[in-house]
Amino acid sequence: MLHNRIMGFEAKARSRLVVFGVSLALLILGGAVLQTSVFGKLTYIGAVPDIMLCIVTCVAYFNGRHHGAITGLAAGALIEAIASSGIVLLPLFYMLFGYIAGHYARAVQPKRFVPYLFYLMFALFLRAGLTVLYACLTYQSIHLLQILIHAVLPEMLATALAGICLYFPLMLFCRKVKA
Amino acid sequence: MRIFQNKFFLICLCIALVFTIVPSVFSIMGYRSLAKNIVGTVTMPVRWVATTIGNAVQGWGKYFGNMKALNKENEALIEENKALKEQLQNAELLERENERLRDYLDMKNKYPSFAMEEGMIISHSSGNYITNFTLNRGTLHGIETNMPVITKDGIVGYVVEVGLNWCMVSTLIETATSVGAYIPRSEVVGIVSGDYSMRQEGTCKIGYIDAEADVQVGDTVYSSGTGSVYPADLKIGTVTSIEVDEYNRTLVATVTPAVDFSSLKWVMVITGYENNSGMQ
Repeated sequence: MLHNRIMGFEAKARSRLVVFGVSLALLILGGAVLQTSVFGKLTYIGAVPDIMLCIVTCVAYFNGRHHGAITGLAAGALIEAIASSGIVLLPLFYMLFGYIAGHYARAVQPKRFVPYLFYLMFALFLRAGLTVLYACLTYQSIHLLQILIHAVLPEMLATALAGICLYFPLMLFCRKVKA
Repeated sequence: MRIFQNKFFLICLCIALVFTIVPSVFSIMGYRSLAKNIVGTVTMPVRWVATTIGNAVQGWGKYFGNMKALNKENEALIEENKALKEQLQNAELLERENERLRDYLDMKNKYPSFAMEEGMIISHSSGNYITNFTLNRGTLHGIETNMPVITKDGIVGYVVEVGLNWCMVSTLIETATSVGAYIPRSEVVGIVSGDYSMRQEGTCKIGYIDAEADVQVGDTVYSSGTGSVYPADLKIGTVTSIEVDEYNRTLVATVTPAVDFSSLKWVMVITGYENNSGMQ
C-alpha cells in the first residue's frame, strides 16, 4: 500500500511535469509568434514589445526559480531560432533572469500586482542593457543617446505595457500549471 | 553565491551556454544552424497565419485611425468636385459662345457687305409648329421691319413687327412669306413660299416654275435677290420632292429649309446690305 502510494505520487508528479511541459511549449510558441509576426506588424510606441520577457517574468514570479529558468531557456532558444540576428545571447539571459527572479520571488507572499511590477521593471532594465550590448556588437559606431531614445526607451515602454496587459492571463495560466 | 551552487542551475547554465555559444559560432563562421532551420520550417505555417492576422488588424486600425483624415479629405474632394463642375459648366458656356462668335465671324467674312445685328430668340409663337418667334433686339439696335433674318445655314425669315427692344420674325415656312429664288445648277427661277399644310411638316414650296424646267430632287435653292427684302445668294434649302400641276402646266417642288427651326437660338438680322441693283 505504501508502495502504491509512492508510485501514485510519482505518477502524479510525472503527469504534472508533462502538463507543465506541453503548456509551456504552447505558451512560448504563441508568445514567439505574437512577438515576431503580429507585433512585428503592429508596432506601438515605435517598438516591438518583448513578449517572451513578460512570460519569463510571470512564470518566475508565480512558479519559482526552476520554472523560471526552464521557461527562460526555452523562450530564449525559440526566439533566437525564429528571429536571430547572428549574436545569440537570449537563452543565457532569459535563463539567468528567470532563475534569479524566481529565487527571490519565493519570499513574496501573497503574489500581488505591485511586487510583480518591480520584477518587471528589473527585467526591463536588464533588457535595456542587453539591447545596448547588441547595438555595440552590431554597429561599428554608435551614438548612445540616439540608441536610448530610438530603441531602448520605446522597447521598455512597449514591453512594460505588454507586461501589464499580460499579467492577469499569465497569472491564471501559472496557477493552473502549478496546480 | 549559494543560489548558484545548485545542481539544477548548473545544468541549466550549461545548456544555456551551449544554446548561446554554438549558434553564435555557426553564425560567425557563416553556417546556417540546423536547429534554426528546423524551427523556422515547423513554425512557418503558424507565423504565416499570425502575420496575416496582423496585416488584417493593421489594415482595420489604419482604416479607423484614418477615418477623420478620410472624412476631411472627402469633404475637400466634394468641394473640389463642385468647383470643377462649375468650371466645366462655365467652360461649356464659353465653348458655345465661342462657337456662336465663330459662326458670326464666318458670316462676316462670307458676307462682308452685310451689316448684321445678332439677336437671341426669347419666345416662340404658340401653335403646333414653330413659325414665328421674338428676338431680344428692336429699334434701339437699328432693327426695322422687313429686314431679313439669317443664320450661317441660310435664310430664317424676316422682321414683321418691331418694338424698342424686341422684334417679331416670320419664318420662311410661314404662309405669308415669299422669297424670290433660283436653282444655280439649272438656273431655274421661282418663288419660295410657305404653305399651310407644309408648315406642319416644317417645309415650304417653290412654285411658278415651268413644267419643262430642269429641277431635280437634291437641288439647292438660293435667294435670287428680287424683291426688297432678301439679298441674293442666301441659301434657302434643298428640293426634296417634285410635283407637276397639269392644270396650270407648272412645277411645284417641296423645299426643306436649310435652317433647323427647332434648334434655333441665335440669329442674325441683316440691318443693311448692297444688293445687285445697289439698293441698301
